[in-house]
Amino acid sequence: MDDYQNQDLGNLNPLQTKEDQELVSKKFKLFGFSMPEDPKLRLLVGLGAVVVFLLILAMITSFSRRTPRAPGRVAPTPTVNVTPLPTENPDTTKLPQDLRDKFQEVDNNVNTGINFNPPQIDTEVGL
Amino acid sequence: MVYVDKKRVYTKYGTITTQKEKFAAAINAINSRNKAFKAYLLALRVLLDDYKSANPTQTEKNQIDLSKWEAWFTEQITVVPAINNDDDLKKWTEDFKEKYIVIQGVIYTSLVQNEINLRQLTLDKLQDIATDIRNNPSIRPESQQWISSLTVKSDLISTSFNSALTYTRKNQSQTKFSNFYPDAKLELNKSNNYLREISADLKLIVTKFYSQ
Repeated sequence: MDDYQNQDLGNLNPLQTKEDQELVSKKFKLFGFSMPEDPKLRLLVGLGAVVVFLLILAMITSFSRRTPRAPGRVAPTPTVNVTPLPTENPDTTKLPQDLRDKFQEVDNNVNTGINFNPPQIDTEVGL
Repeated sequence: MVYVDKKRVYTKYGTITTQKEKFAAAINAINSRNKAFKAYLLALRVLLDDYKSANPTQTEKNQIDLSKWEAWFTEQITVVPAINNDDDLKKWTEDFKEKYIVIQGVIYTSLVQNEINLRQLTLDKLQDIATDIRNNPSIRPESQQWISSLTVKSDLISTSFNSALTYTRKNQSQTKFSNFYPDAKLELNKSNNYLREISADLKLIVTKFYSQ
């Protein structure tokens, strides 16, 4: 009965020296944290670390997107694209008479606005 | 204004007499309004005839819609004075509020179509002028390359017409009218600017290449 020894307790193994014991304990340490010996558990811890890393990365990215840009870097507000009018005014007196009349009709059309808006009413009358 | 005054007096005193006066004023106000709308719709329908030749089918459809509401207002001119109690008047007003969303849609669609028709006819006129320039022996043939570049602007005008029409087809909510006319008007103004540019360009081409 005196020879009985629990094999799970390494420090009771008479065949293992103190240096060997330290080597084993260092082998499963990462950044000062001791790693489990089971490969499945180690894989799980590794995946967990990756997930945490990605989570932090996502937080940083979303935070930087939400932060307003410096005033000088703000994108300009789009404006209505209005085509500029021609700057050169042609001399209509040089036009042949028949074309001059036609151009006159065109000019009247483009410069005449149709203002025929409906009457503005209060639809609550009667309520 | 009479109706607003009568309503204020009724809100203040709440008597049967003031209520009756408010009711009568509301009937008068609504009836006058219906007559005004009937006249406006008639005038708009006739106005569409001016440039109808640019798109007879669509313009005719607009005119049919306008005449349908014109007939409805004509009918209401006899219906509303016959209303003799507050409940019926409220029911009529609620019904009108829903119809008015459709009526405004018909009116503004017709206005947009009318303006497109005018601009389309103007564009046709400019194309006629371009053809005249091409066929005019007094205008030197170097003008041809400049005239051909005008088709780009013609295409832009057609795009603006289509965009304006797209706004008129926007679905309306049942409770509130979403006025598409200002957006459509922007597109129409854009097309007007292109027409001005084409006109100015053609004038320049003629003055540059015309030799008597």
